[in-house]
Amino acid sequence: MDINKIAYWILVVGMVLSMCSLALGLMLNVLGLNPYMTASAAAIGVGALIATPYARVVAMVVASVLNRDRGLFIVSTFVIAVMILSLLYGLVFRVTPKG
Amino acid sequence: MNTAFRGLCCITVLIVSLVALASIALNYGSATCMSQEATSSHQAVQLLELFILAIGAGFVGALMGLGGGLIFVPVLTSVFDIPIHTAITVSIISVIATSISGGSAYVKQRITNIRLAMFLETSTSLGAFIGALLVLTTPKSLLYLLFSTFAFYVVFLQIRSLRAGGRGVEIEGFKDASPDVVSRYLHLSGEYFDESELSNVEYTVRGSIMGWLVSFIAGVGSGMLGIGGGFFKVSAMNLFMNVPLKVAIATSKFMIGVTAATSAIIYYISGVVRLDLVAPVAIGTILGASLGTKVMNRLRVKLLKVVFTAIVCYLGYSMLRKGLLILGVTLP
Repeated sequence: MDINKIAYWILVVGMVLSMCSLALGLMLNVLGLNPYMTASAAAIGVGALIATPYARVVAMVVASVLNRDRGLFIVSTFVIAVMILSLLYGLVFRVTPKG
Repeated sequence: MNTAFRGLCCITVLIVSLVALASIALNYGSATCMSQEATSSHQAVQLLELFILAIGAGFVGALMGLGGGLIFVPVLTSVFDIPIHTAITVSIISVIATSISGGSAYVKQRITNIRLAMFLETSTSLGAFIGALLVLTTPKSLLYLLFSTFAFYVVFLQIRSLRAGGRGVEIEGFKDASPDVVSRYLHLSGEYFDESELSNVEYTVRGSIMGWLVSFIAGVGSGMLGIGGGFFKVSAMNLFMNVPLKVAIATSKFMIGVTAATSAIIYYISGVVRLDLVAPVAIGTILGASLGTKVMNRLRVKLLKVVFTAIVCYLGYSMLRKGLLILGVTLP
């Protein structure tokens, strides 16, 4: 399986999704229209932006398993583990007072 | 397109969509706050100003081979009077946007070394995680001083490169080195087709440990200061790991997304990101960067470098002044 092709399509999908939502959010915000939709569009855009690198690393883990590529599997699993750890820490900071 | 590839694409769309939708729920509080603030015309003007500024930062950044973070954080704090913690969180999300848009083009041209990127991401993501934890608890004054140090370091490097003059991008002599144990085990060496030289460039990756350590520092810097850290990553790959400059730039651009996302997720979930500021900054940076890339060959880069160096020098000084002011020292 071609990891270049996978990475390329993930980046393209992530960029289109996030930029469309952010552009919609910006437009609605500047025009002062539908406040809840404005906020939701911005939240979706930022969420998609942050999720894209996550999706790319998950895809690398899956591709390394399918390609029986032990080296790539070790490094991509390590990276996704750190990324998940930071996600969990984000949740910890969310429920505890900030410093 | 085979079944496994289609499956992976579906998984990607699903993950991105699910996370995006979950983010509405997670950011309900800040989103509601944003919607209440969005009605004033003063804020609409501020958003447009930010958008224009982002185009400028993206444009200059692309010309100089840097992300917008170096310009954004000081301008957001100085011109828009936004607290440094907020500026860093907004900047780091726009860094992901530039990485995704710029990185995809290099991946399509097969210049990016994905295996090398994944290896170095083990250190940058770890560094970014530590950096993000530090930024949430670091005093403002220290952040200003750190940023100012980084800005002055960039000024120093720009002056040095101006003195050295325009050197061509070397493509020879990268194949002859012998790979180290890590490079051999992970098959990090590779090749790419150089369109300007019309030749296939093979290179052997070595110095993996040194590259890993420098990337770790780049990751901490990225997480703490809201910058991409591409400056350090490109240097690490080109100087210590025997990677051709074009591959180093492409691979660094690709890696920055993961580094920035690792720290951005902490800020985003913990609810410290100003959603209303992210949209103009992210979209503006991407537009500016695409414009910058297109006109790069038509402009006199040396003159631009001088102007850019002067701007960064001023921004570094303004950050230093702000940092020292908090500590009770007043600079002119």
